[in-house]
Amino acid sequence: MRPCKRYTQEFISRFVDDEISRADHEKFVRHMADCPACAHTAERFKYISQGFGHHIDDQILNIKLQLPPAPLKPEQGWKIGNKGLGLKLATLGTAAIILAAALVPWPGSKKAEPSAIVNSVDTYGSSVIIIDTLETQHTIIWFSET
Amino acid sequence: MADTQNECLQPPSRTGSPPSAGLDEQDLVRRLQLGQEWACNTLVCQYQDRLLKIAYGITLDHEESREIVQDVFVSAITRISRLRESASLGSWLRKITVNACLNWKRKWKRRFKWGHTPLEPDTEFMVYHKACQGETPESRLREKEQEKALATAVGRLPEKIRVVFVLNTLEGLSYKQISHTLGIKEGTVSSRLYRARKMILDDLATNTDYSKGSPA
Repeated sequence: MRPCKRYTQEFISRFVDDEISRADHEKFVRHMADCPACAHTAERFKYISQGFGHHIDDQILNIKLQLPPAPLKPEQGWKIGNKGLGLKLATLGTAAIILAAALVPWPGSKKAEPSAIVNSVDTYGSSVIIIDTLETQHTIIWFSET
Repeated sequence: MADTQNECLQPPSRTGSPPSAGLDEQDLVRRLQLGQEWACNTLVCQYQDRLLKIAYGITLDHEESREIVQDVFVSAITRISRLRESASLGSWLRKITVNACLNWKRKWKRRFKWGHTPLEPDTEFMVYHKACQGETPESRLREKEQEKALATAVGRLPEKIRVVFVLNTLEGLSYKQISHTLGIKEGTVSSRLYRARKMILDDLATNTDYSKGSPA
């Protein structure tokens, strides 16, 4: 099938998403009646979205959420003027010092490398995680039923 | 709140009007801010499928998407006071989910050399399930194989392009909404979507016999 030189594939992509003007939309619909290349491209672009949507719909049926059993409480924002402001400022100051210490490289320190290699395999009912530590050369195999 | 799949707790009668499918969003937010348990359950019931689709679309992994969405709900409920009055709850949750998916990958990449092999769920069961709904098992299996190849091709897209594709395909967002969610220009959204579709078709043509058959 010879590609069409009148409309780009990006235009057809926008057409599929209904992101072109009404006039352009009607013009392109008329064009597709005489241009099998454009009609085929539009059809394939639509198929990609529909097929992927169906796949995801099927997949999420197998996912069950497990949220904490206790009722979750929304956090209460800090209110300036409450007692304990000094304590909050001290906490902020400590956090800033820790952050600065973490960000500034220590003299003679090497660039951080991964501390472990982790491989995991999931099935619907169980999962296996294999952790290899690089420095101490330990292998940890962790099996769990989900 | 432990088992949330397809189950919504009803509110105690003394709390006033019950939550329904058309529960007012502002009312839900207000009740979440008060810490009402059934409001938390209603939030999960209303949004879990949407958020799971986004998370699974980006990660293509059952376990990761489950954990991400659980974290998103916990985070959203505890930080509900940060939601601005003018902002939509759905857009806020969507934004948190997308960021959580991207941060999840970055976090693990930084810390570990990570290899993960998700095994497919019971495909035969799903084929049988669909066959009971009037399709032949053969045609359904062929369709499933095409969809699986499609998902594999989506999984090979660069992350930035995949996120745009997922928001457009699974959430049905306009270019303007995607540009607002991700903080990019509408022209960038358009070109990324076109590139996503082009790359997926090229991938399918290279790795499957898709190009020989009809896509419909």
